[in-house]
Amino acid sequence: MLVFAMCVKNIFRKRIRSSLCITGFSLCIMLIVSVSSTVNFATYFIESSNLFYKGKIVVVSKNSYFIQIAPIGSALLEKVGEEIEEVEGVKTVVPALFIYSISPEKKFLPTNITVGIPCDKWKVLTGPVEPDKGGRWPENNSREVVVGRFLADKNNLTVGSKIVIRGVNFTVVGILSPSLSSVLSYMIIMPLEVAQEVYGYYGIVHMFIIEPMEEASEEELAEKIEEQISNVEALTTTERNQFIEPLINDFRRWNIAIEIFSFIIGSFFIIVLSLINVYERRKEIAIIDSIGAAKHQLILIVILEIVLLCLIGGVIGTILGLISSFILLRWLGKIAPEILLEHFWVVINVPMLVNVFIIILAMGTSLGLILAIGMLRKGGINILRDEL
Amino acid sequence: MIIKASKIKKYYQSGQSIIKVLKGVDLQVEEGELTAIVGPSGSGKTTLLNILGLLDNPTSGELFLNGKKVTTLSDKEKRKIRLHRMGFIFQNFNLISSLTALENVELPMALAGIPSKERRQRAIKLLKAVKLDNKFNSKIHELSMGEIQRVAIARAFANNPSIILADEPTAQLDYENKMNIIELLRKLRKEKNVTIIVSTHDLNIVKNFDKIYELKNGKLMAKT
Repeated sequence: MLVFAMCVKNIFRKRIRSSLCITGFSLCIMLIVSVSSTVNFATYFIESSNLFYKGKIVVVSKNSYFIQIAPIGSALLEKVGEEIEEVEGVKTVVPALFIYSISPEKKFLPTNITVGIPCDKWKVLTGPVEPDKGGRWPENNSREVVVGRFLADKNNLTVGSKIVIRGVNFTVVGILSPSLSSVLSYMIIMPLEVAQEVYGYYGIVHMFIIEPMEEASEEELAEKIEEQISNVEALTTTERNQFIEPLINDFRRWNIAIEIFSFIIGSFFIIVLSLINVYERRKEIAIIDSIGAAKHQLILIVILEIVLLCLIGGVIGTILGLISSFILLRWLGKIAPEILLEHFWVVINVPMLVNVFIIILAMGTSLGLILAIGMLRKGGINILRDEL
Repeated sequence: MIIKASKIKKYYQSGQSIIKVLKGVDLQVEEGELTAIVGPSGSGKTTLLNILGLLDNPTSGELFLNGKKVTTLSDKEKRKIRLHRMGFIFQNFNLISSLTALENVELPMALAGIPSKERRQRAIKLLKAVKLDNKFNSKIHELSMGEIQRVAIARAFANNPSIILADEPTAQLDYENKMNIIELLRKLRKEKNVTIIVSTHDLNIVKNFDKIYELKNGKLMAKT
């Protein structure tokens, strides 16, 4: 305990040196944590959004893109759905319309997605997520909508609220509170024919979601659809995942690169700090050596202060990193605070933090050990003689 | 006989030449004796005390403590002897500036694994014995030279050693403090029945010592 108290006192005694070391070190850790947490959350966000339509085939027009939940640049005639139904192995065909809106009517902020889906086919989009208690799905051909939790909270909407979309009055009949995909939280879901009418997409849809029959293989059915129907692309679950894989891999590569870079800088700080620390305390350590301290006690004294500084810097850096990660995701990624809080443990990324602290401790300990052994070799009395 | 040094030699290599500091020192100290080693600066007093205190190894020769040969002991065993059976008082005090007077006295006991409550009680008792009752929580830089050396003395007695080695303990003190420190060492020797070896270049402070040796040209001679 006395040795520990000595180390703590030494940290406070050399305030400027300690503060500089802690600041430098915590900045490195902050960089690592904020980048890792942000990338981790972004990856999770993309991956969880990509869980949509698992085991189903998505049909879009040729040369269009499909990201997460909906296509970009795809438009198909609604009647193409009837042709798809004819393909052997197709169980159900659900047409869908997706309208991305940055700020429609300037009332639904921020970004939202309006989705038109035939009544009773909602589950193809929302999976197990049902409107919250007291709500329901829209009636056929009605001016009714279900809105995502984030949009509802942002615009103070509850079941029964009235909203205006492109000059048409709608009634909110349900609120969706998804736990997995945050994308659903940004959606306005209405019957397909109503969406087509409001947005002027008469007889046009953006894609079809195909459920294969039990015995049919997803890949084989997708091939058949592409063969039998011209100018469409049938994307299987694997193919859709492949769209985001390069993006996620890029994210991870950048993440690793920044982590390595930060660790190099961090290591430099630890080395400099350790050298300054041991040099400044060599007399103190030599005195303890001359009194008759055991080798392990001397090593402990050297290591303890380095590890303490590393840990203080690590904790401060982690807190700052998490705060900056929340700020990055909130202001640059436009992720709602509710969603961030809901996925708190994704942002925090415990395995990454554990790794960071293991590496900090390993570095501090091994460096302290090398320096302490160096001092022991020199011998306490020789150091005291040099100090005279 | 608590200390027996036989034909202790210590040579240092300095570039191409060899400096012969101790050229075959023989010394015998009885238990409870107050012994002085006098000699001018650079005569090798500190080197001899470092060897007697197992802080340094002789180039050749043998050292016995309580009849046991210690020159061949392992580093670990020497550390144990230093911690439990020896106390050191250095010319430049060698106290830890970040600790208080009380904590400095506690340090050897903490290293020896004495429980905190016991070591605190013992440290308080020792500081009272060296008349530093009101300086327990003072930092070293807040104390006078005389007070600092008294803290160093209290620390040397912390683990109830049987041998105290004091290397020029009065070198940095004025006459009054010199005499006070020597008087204090005499008093503590009597109370605790320890063997004390003091090295000094000041013959005024070694009057009435049990034995006085002079270190001259690397050899130790009894001074009459």
